[in-house]
Amino acid sequence: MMPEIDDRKIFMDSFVKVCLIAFLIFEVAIFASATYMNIHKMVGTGTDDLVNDAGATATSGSATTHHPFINLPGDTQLGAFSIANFFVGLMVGYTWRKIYFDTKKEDVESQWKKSGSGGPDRLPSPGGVKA
Amino acid sequence: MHIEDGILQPAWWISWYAATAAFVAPGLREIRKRIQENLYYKPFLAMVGVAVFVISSMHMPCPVTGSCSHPCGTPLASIIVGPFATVIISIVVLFFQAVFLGHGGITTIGANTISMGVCGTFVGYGLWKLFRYLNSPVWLAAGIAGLFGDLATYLASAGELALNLLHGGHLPFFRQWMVFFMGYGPTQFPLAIVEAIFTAGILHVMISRRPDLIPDFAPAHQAVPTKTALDSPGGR
Repeated sequence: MMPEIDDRKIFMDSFVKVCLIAFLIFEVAIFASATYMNIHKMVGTGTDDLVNDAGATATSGSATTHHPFINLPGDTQLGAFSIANFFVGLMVGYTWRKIYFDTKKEDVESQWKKSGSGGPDRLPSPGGVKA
Repeated sequence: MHIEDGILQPAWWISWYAATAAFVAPGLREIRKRIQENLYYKPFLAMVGVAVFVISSMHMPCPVTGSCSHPCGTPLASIIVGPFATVIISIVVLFFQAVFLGHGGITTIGANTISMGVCGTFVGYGLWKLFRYLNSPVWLAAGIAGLFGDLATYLASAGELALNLLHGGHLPFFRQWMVFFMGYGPTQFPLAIVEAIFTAGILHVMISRRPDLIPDFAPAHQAVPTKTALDSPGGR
């Protein structure tokens, strides 16, 4: 018998709230820094590129051009990474629940078996519902 | 710290590959051993690999210097999955970054692994063990590991570039090393502090939720699913 689950808590439990807050902090910091850098005409080049250019210049007299080993033209790169992000996100999320489900409570698999149906979508989230 | 193709002379990048190769067998052995001990380790290792890939690709702007750089994630990974396993993770991560992101290079995977996967890892892990041995709180030991593991990565990378100019360079080795490091340093130092904060934070959360996944904190009485237990009759 699965415990009563409040769908609102599944959607917006403490885990999701913490993730949203961390996400917003990072994004605000990046956008604020980028705005400041734009105002002050800073280029924002990566230090890796700067030092690589310096190293290449010292070695061979000219800076190398930086491009991927497999170069995807135009927006195909955006498409490839969007698809990769989608499936990797699903896999990480799925694995995350298995790893971080509170082991002090009942085992995830035994809950699935006991309920006879359901699955991950009906499981209580780690921070949301008391089992 | 992602040195690109065409910068290091062949003698150097081959040497760095050879040095990296010395860590592969112990890394695979550590992974195999810990999978036997805890079946959660395998998916956990994959997730840590994803985390290192993302963290070491995540360019953060530094408005003081006007440039961007990234943390490494390997000090954190070394504490939670083991230092030698982190070297293997670094090789995989650096390969994908070189091939798909143009971040680093194919010939320089060895050199980049030595800086990020070996120096960052072992400096971070060593400091973590030292501070824990001295009974420091988790947040302090993890923070120190993150801070100095990050800086060690960039020091090593600058050292590799300086060694490349050992013959034929215009400056003595130490000065050349510091010149390259100062290319990274001003941007990297604030990011090393960020790395210290998230290393401490993530480790704190992990120890509170899944202490069994971290060897130093695994309670002796807590049963974790092992391969032996599953293989045996009546096992789960």
